[in-house]
Amino acid sequence: MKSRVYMVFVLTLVAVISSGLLAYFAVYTHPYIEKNKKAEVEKAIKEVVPGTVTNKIIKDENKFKIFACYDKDGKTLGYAVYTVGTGFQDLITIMFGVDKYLDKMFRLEVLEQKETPGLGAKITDKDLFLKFWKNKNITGEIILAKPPKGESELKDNEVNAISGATISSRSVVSIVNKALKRVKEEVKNG
Amino acid sequence: MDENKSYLYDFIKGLWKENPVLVQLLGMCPTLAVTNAVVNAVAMSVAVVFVLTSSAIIISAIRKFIPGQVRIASYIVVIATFVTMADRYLAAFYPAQSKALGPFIPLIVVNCIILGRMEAFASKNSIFRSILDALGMSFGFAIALLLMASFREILGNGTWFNMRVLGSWWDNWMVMILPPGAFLTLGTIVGFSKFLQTKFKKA
Repeated sequence: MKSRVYMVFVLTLVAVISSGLLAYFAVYTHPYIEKNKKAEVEKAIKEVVPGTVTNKIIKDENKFKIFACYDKDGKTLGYAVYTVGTGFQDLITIMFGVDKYLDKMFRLEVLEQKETPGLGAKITDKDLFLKFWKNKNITGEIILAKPPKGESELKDNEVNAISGATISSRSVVSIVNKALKRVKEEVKNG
Repeated sequence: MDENKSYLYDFIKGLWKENPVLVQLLGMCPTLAVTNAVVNAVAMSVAVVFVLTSSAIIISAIRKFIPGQVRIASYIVVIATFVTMADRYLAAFYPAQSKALGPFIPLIVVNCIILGRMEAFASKNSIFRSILDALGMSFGFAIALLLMASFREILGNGTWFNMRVLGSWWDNWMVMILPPGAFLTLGTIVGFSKFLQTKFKKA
């Protein structure tokens, strides 16, 4: 009986000390982590809508955000869209920039992903995947080219799939297409 | 065997004779999963050195107070605490590295090398010897991971540490960075090390 009480006491003590330590550590690191995240979003906005000086958030949901981007004279350049969708293994967080008439995509960035390293994770590779996303025609939907085409053969609404990571490539395309549809609705409705 | 020699043995046994990956065949999940690029293997090894050594210190220090029935549960709590701290620390101060490592860091909790060493060594020996054992084992783990990752990255991607080592004539063996490549490499390396060890014993 005595040993049983002691056993419960020790394990409880270990758990309490550990959670205390972790709670302290979480509180201590939280502001830094938040700051990193915010800085990352700000940087990504400037990246996907070139020339942005200030931005204003016009749609703020947990998994979907639209930032209106202005140049230094306050003229609207376009919109930066933050969106989250399902990838091969976990959620993929994407930011892309479109012009103010919503017919051209400037650029796309992958902010967070947990795809297979060495394969699906190549969706973050600037020379391999992201380069196809520059200046795309978005009056319709983006289409995934599989098998990959030569760069000159790609139409202005097509992007190449990554060989060995079709599912991750397809996920990015479908996340973007869903987000595009919403952006068009949101912006049309003011 | 005198005192000094046995301290030395605590450390070096993990490198080769009792190498956790090649001989004990422990910690297979990270070995197979993160060795598709040398960078990932290095990052994983550094994290394991930190977690294994700190856990060994704490568990060796409290070994006399932990009742046998709840020892595994207590060890896991201690290990998970260090893993979470390492993970949060990276996220706060080294966001780039933290992003590159993704889910591998939290997965150290289930690395059986760590729990195995706690149970087999740190729970029975002094703090100093436990540190030596932990360092030896984690370096042994690092050696095995680097070997695996070098083979896989060079054959599968033509690069080592993201540097091009094979010319453009090289046709990447995609299979080497896919899961089957991990099994092929692990089997070959373990087989070769067994061969060396039996040969070494006879001589």
